[in-house]
Amino acid sequence: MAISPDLLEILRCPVCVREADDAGLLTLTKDVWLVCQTCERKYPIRDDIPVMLIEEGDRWRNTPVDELPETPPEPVV
Amino acid sequence: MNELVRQQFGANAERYVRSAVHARGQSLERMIALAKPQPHWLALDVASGGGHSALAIARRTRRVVALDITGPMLKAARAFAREQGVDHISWMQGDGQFLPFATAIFDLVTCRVALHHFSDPPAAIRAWARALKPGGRLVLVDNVGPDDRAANAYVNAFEALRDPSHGWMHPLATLVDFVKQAGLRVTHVERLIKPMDFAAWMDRMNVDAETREHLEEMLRSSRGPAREFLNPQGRPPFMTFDLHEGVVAAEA
Repeated sequence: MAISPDLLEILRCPVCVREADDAGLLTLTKDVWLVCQTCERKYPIRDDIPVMLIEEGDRWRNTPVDELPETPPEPVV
Repeated sequence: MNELVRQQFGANAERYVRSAVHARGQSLERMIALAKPQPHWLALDVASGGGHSALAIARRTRRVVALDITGPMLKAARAFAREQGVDHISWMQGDGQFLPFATAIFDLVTCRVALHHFSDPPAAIRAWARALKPGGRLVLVDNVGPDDRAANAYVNAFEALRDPSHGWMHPLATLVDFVKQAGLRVTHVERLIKPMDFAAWMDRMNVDAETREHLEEMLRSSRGPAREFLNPQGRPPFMTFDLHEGVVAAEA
């Protein structure tokens, strides 16, 4: 597993958690994606490091969960 | 600003991780002494950089989350921590101003020598305050500038010439105000003065020859409160100047 359950418990979407304390819960998908249950931004886990940057979440927001790549590609710089 | 930080520190990640100044700075010892990390604590180190603070805290607590905006820096820091046999640090890429964490979960939040890169320091400190449990502790260390406004602008220009990702150093009193405005109770404030080896300071950011000359000229021609603050000593190539670090401890 790319992320431990206790870490998943404290992680939130950085956008939604600012709006409300109980918002922005994340679901682990395909072992390498964290999907926000509130806004559907999707945060990749690259090399076991969750990438919780808003621009990354935005980049994948409109990609359906089943179309997310099995291995998150490197960021476009 | 974030992109500049990523470029600057991504390119110099390994040098920063191995830096003796950052690994053994007096401010790190002071931070640990003020934080008093307890074995059962969950700690967050914001803008963790080379991971030196995270590593020091991890030796005293059950788990540390190390957050940094620069991917290569995180990987270099993780490799270094593993070399030291420390594997209970969770490495995470994120922006210290937009924390990706639930509210009121950390016993300790630390941030050492990074706030001057942030575009909105008060907003960042508010985000850290939100992440702290009631009674949780914040220890903030950052480079600070002179109280005199013109001198502060001069010293900031000097820093920005060496590191384009340098944002703005505030006077220590301003940092204290930011912490208070975030709703935290300030428990301790101190200033550390650190003589810097001018050449090594430039080497860490891989400064080119032309910029080195500019920096040297700025140091030499400084006057008044800026000169008093920088306190340049020696002659090229063996020069030093003073870096001032502010340490602020507070409780939620």
